[in-house]
Order: sequence, then C-alpha cells, then structure tokens
Amino acid sequence: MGASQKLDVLQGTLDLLILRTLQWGPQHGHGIGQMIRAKSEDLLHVEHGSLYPALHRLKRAGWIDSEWGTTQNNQRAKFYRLTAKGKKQLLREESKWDLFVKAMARVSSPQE
Amino acid sequence: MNPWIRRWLSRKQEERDLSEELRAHLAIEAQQRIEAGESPEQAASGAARALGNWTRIQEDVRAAWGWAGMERFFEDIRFGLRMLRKTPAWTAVISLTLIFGVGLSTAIFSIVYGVLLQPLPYPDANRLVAIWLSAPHSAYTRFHINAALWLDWRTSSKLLEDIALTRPVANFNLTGEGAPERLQGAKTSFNVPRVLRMKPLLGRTFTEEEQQSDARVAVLSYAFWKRRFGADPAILGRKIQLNGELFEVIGVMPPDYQYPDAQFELWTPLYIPPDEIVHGMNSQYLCVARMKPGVSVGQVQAEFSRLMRRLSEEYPTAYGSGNDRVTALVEPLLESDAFQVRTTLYALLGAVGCLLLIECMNLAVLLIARATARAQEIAVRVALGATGARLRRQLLAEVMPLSVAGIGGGLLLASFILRVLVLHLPANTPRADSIGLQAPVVAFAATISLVVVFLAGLLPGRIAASNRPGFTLQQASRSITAGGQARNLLVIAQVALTLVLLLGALLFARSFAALLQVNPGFSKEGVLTMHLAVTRAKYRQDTRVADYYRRIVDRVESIPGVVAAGVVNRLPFSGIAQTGGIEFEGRADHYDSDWRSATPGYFKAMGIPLKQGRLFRDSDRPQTLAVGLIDERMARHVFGAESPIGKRFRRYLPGISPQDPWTVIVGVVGHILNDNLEQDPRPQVYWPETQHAQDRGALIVKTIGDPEAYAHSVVEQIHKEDPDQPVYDVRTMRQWVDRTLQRRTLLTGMVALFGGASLLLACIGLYGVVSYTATLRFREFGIRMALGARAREVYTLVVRHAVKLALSGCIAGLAIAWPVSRALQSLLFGITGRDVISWFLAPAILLFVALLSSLSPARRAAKTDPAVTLRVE
Repeated sequence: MGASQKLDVLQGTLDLLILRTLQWGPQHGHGIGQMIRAKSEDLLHVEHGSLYPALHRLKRAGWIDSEWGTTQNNQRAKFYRLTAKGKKQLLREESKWDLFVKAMARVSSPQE
Repeated sequence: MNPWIRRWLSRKQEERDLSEELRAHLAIEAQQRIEAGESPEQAASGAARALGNWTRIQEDVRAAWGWAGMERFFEDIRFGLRMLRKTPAWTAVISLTLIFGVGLSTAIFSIVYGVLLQPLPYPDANRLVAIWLSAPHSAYTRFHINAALWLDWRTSSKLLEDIALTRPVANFNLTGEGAPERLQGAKTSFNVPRVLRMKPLLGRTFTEEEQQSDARVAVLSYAFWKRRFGADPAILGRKIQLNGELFEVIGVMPPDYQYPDAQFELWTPLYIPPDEIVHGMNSQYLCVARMKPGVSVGQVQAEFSRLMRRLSEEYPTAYGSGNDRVTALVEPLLESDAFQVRTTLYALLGAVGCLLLIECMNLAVLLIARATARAQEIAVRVALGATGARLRRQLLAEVMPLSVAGIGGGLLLASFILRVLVLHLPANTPRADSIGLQAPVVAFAATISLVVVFLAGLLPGRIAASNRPGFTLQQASRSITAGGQARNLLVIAQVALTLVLLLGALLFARSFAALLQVNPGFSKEGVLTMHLAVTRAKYRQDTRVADYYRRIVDRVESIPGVVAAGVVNRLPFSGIAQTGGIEFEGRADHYDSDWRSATPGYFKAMGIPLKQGRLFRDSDRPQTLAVGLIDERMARHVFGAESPIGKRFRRYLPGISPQDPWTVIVGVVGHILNDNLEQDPRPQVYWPETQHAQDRGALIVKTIGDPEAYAHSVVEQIHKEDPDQPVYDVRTMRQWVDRTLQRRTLLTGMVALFGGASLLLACIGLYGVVSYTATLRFREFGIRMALGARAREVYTLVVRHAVKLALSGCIAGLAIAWPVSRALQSLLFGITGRDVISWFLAPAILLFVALLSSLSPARRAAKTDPAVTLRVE
C-alpha cells in the first residue's frame, strides 16, 4: 500500500465519520477507528491521537454518549452511542458534506 | 447545580476514566495482535506504538473538555508565585510600589466617593435641587434667597413639585435639665420632610398651621435624641427649654435625615412675619426643591431664569438690572453642598491618577527588565513551540498574584491614610463622616490594582513574544536589546507626567506661600475666641443684652494676663457673616458692607488699629448720640481724601423706606478680611452694642502667652455671671485662620507628596534604564576605550543618554502641563497658571535629579577595563 493511496482525514470530516459509524450501533474507540478504516477499504486512516479528543468533544457537545461495557472477547471498553441530538447533527453534517462534494466536483471538472 | 461546576468537581474522575479508556484501547489492540500471531510482548509494544503519544492524547482530550485554558492559567500562576518567592527583594519592591499607589488612590477615591458621588440618602434624591440667588458678574455666585421669593416661586413654578425653605442660622440655648448647651438648629418650612420624602422615626413633623402660628414645637435629629436623651422612646410630648421658652418635642427624624447637614440637631417651625415678605429683604434662607418626574435640572434652570427676569423687571431695586441683575442658580442638591470642595477633590483625584499612571509605567519597566533577564528561558519556550499568545498569557499570569498584594495592602494602607486625611479635610466638607471603605471603594481598589498589573504586564509579554529564539539562543546576553525602545519611551512618559505633578505642586506651594503673606488686618496670635448666644427670654430689652455683655467683658478683663476683651456680633473667619447695604447722608449710592455691633474693647482685643477719630466708649449709651465707625477701605472709597468724621450713615434696606436714625461717624478703623485670606469682599461698619444690640456674640480675649490656657478661666467667669449661658466654638484666632486654610493645606500637602513620590519613581525608572543600557554597552565601551577613547568620553556618553531621556520627557511634560495649568487657575492664589518661577523650577528640578541618577552608572561605565570586558564575552 503506497503512501499516496492513504488519505489523512480532513479536519472537520472526522466528526462526520464518527457520527456515521455510530449509526450502526454503539462502538468503542478502537472499534470506531477500525470501522472507518475497513469501510474506506483502508484508504482512511484515523490517528488515535485525534480520535479520542474528537470523541470527547462530541460527547461534550451532547451528540454522543458513552458507557462502560464488554466486548465479544469479554474485554472492558467504553462504548459510544449516538444521541437523538447527534442524529439530527448527522443529518445536517451529511447534507453539508453532499453540498461540499458537489461543489468540489463542479470546480474540479469544468468541462461539464 | 450548574453543569460547569459539576464537571469541574468531577474532573479527577474524568481523568481516571480517560486513562482507563486508553488502557482498554491498548488491551483490545494487543488482543487483536496476539490473535494475528504476534507474541504478547510484541503485541503490547506494537499496540503502544500504534496509539502514539499517550500524554499528548490526554492533553488534547483535556483541551476538548475545556479546562485546559483555566488549568494552564492556574499553573502559570503557581509558576509565577514560585518565581516571586525566588526573588523576594524584587517582589517586595514591586508589591510595595503597587500597594503605595493603590493605597493612595483608593484613599483619595473614597473621599471623592463619600463627598461627591455617593447618592444622598433620600428617596429619588436625583430629583432634589438646591436653588440659590446669584449675581454672576460679582463675587457672589451663590447666596441665600428671601421669603418673598419663596412664596412667588411656589405659586409660579410649573416644573417643581414643591419648594422648601430653611433658615440655617438659628441658635437654641438648651437649658433646664443637665448642662446648658447651645444647639445648632434650623427653622424650616413645614414641607422640608415632604420635599426630601422622609418620614419621622417617631411622632410627626410640624404642619403648615404650626408654621404660620409660630408654634412652640420641635423635631429632634436622631443623633441629638440619642446623645442628650439616651434614645428615650417617651420623648414625644416632653417639653424642653430652648432660648428660655418651652418647646414640645413632637418628633424624631431617622439617622439619614441630615438637612442642611449632619451638624443640625433640631428643627422648629419657620415663622415668617408678614412685614418680612418684601422682595430683596432678609436674604437668609436655604432653598431645596423637588422636581417633577422627568424634568431635568436644565429645564428648571431655564424656568427660574425666566422667573427672575420677570421679578427683576418688577423689583429693580431688589434684584438690580443690566449687569448687576440677580438671577437664580439651580443645581442638584448633591453638588450644591459640596461646591466649595469639589474642585479641590477632583484636582487631588487627577493628581493621584497621574501618580498611578507613573507607577504603572514604572512597573512595566521593571517587568520588561525581568522578561529580558529571562530571555534565555523564554527563547527555549518559543523554540519548544510556545506561541506568542501563550507566552503573553504566561507572563501575565505570572504577575497577576501581585495584584492580590496590591488589593489587600492597598486597602489596608488606604484605611490608615483615611484616618489621618479625614481630619484634615476642609472645614466645610459635607458628609465627611460617611467617608470609608465602602463597597464601591473596594471595587475601585480591586479594579485599579488588576488594571495596573495587567497593563504593566502586557508590554513585557509582547516584547518577549517578539523575540526570535534562534537569535537569543545563539548569542550571549549582550545582544538582547529587545524592549530597549519601549523602555526609553516609558521612562520619557514617566518624566513627562512627573513634570506635570511637580508643576502642580509648585503652583500650589507658591499659592500657599503667597497666602501666608496676606495680612488679615487683625492679629492672629494671642487671641482667644468663643461664641455665646444670649437667651432673649431672659434679657428681653436691648439694653439688658448690652449690659450683660459689658458685665461679662468686665469680669474677663479682671483675669490676670488678659490684656483686653470685647464682644462682636460676627467673628471674622468663623464662616458666618452679617452683610447688608449702607447709605451715607447726602449721597445717592449705597454700599455693601459687613454690619458689625461691637463693644469698645473689641478693637484692642482683635488688634484692629484706630486710624482716625475715636473708638467706642462706655459713655456711648442708648440715649446719647448715635455713633458709628467705618473702616479705612470704606472711608477711602466713599470720601477719598476728605475726612469722614462727622458724616452720617445708616442701614440701607432695599424695597422698604428707611427707619433707622442716622449714625454719626466718630472714627475710622483698619480694614479686615472677614471670610478668609483669599477674598476681600466687603468693608466693615460698626455700631456700639449699646445702641445696636445683637443676641449672638463672639467674645474676643487678648491674652499674654498661650491663649488656650485662659479658656477655662474665661468660661468660668461667664458662668459666674450666668450659670445657664452656653458657650460654644472655643478656639484661638490662629485656629480659625488655619481652618480657612485647610483646603489649601490639604491640596498643597497631598500634591507635593504625589509630586515627590513620582519624582522618586521616575528617578528609579531613569536610573534603571540608564544603568541597564550602560551594562549592555560595556562591550562597546570596551572597544571604544581599546581604540583610544578616554574614560571621560564614556562617562559623557552615559550621562548624555540620561539627559536626553529627561529632556524629551520634560518637553512632552511641558506640553501636557500647559492646559492643566489653565484648568488649575481657580485653585491658585496670588499667581497665575503661567507663573514663571514654577515653570522654570519644575523642569530644572527634574533635569537635576535625572543628572544625579545617571552619575553612578556613568562612573561605572567609565571604569570599564577594556581588557576585562572584551575577554568576558
């Protein structure tokens, strides 16, 4: 896997990625990182250094909540889940993202 | 509970939670790696590597929690405290400077607050106004109104709810139970409490009927009720003997009721005899009024200017015309009673503000020096990634603990200063008893302390943040010149402000010196004075009053050591006067004058010389020829070179036909100043007490040696004559004169103190900068000397730096001082704001001191050994 094919997560999009991941159900920090990587087919690589601060920031904003639980392997972990407020935020972020993607597409393919 | 507080309290728990979460992360990662076939050791270290910098993550998470800023701030403060502890001398100097500045300015502010800013204790006090008469083109800008005006205004004014009248000069001799006592009371119209919106604490206040029928009822002040009657609740209905007559106590006012001021102990109905209701007659009343809601002082002023214009057209003899026209002056009650001290207090506040500013800059210079000394440390911080903002915050947080010292120490010092200062306030300062460290004063101290430290800390932070770390770390300390320019500017500004303060101090000191040269026309030394008001119920006829005075004077003169004694109706410099017009037979003009009734011995006792003719004699009796004296000034003004002896005069009462008999002038005496040393408003005319008796008298006793030592035996003699005679205001003439000087003493003393302190601060600042710059240039001096410069030249180089700074400061200071000296004009005496000596001396003193403070760094620089200096680097 070449370095050129690994993308750094854009600032501001990490929140969206986390919220979207949690859509599928509660997950712990390690799992969230792995899911993002897996879903992006190894293209997106989230630094733990930015994942945990982001999780705590989202929690403070009230979009996600956390509680201690156990994994399938019977390991203790802190699980995050989306709150009602977080779901609304996800919708907002997604439509913003769609707009951004469309705009980028238009700018980068002027021949259209 | 506030969620923020809850979170703050639970942050230890959150910390543990985060560590556990990260550990759990490592465990999961390790587990996965083991499952992928790694050994447990490999898995553990691989997991840790994958997670990255644990501490960094923790810090970033903490930042997400929102505490980071605050925690870092507290950390910085802790660090600052450690630094301050490590340099106790430096900390002590800075704290003391700060405490000194905060203490002084807080003390001055608490006086200004107590006297000028603190709202009056009456409901809706901002709607209360005082109304005076004013002759704008004369020395009389505020004088009392007469009863006819009160009646006219009450019916004509549409903007005022009500107007109340008070006769503040009313003597009440309280006799009967207990020691005889003279009370300071006032006769008032029935509506004063209503205008002030104050209800009595006990009983009631008097009614309009009681005022009109001159009822014998009295309302007591809270302080008097407590002092004399032990706050007896059964006081209502009790009869007390005032001036020999029985008055029924009908009410007690609450402690806040202090009108006209805190000295008044009782109020009785103001009966206005119908023949006194004449325009222009007996201007002796204070006037307080309440404006209708939503009306401004300006509107009332306009209404009253109109009213007075109409009245002066109707009664030109009473209120004049043209330039002499009398008009009304309307001002807020709070300002009105403090008008005499207002300018003085604001001048003091301005001066102390100047001092504080100088101090702030001095502090900044010291902090810059410290930041420069720490340049290495700061450069390391910058190299490790500290941003400019972060550095500024840190340097600020480090010095903020100093402001706590400023607040605490400043308040403590202020309370000490106040204890001394309040005693030296001008005699007519209102509300002096309410001066203290009230809540707004404490808030003031806290604010200025924080602001001064903040401002002083701001600049060093900026300068430190602009340092280039590479540069600083590479080079040795000789290259650290950052802040040099700022320091120079700060010192120049300090010198400039110091010049302003010095000039102010010089102007006040010169005024004071000029004032001490003034001859009041009487002798200040060896003269004892006291007041006695005659109980007229006891001595009804004028002749009995005059005889009573004469018997007292005879008794007092029999005391060994007493040279002369006499009685006069109004004592000079005692703050009260009796003034009125005089007309001379055969002349159309009338003249404003002090009306005086005196016994023959008064002139000798007071040291007023006889210039022409004779003084009064015991043989001047009611049935003999009506005689009088005029003073030199009147004689010269009216008669010029002609002798006034034998000419005749009488009182001039505007608006009513003269009833007095003509009085023959038998002598001319020296002119005296009546009010204070600064003003000379009127000449005097005298009648003998026997022909013109007055019930208030001041006894003047000329003694050999210390006049105060005679006080006891004089009072004893008076009480031998009449044991019920209250005696009050026992003071020497010197004390009366000093009392009128108190405003100047305060102003001159304080501004001189501020000027001296600022001179010292500017000197320290200048010394610091000059010697520091010299140290930085040691290498340069070394090179210069190695190349052949003589010690003398290096010496001059350093001195020149100091002189340059001081000169620039002086020039800036003179520019600021120009408008200031104009604003101070009203506080000066005998000199103008452009007094050449002061304008010359202030910069001269500053330059001289600047020169002195540069000598020692210059000497050190001149001793530079080039070999040593160059090798050190």
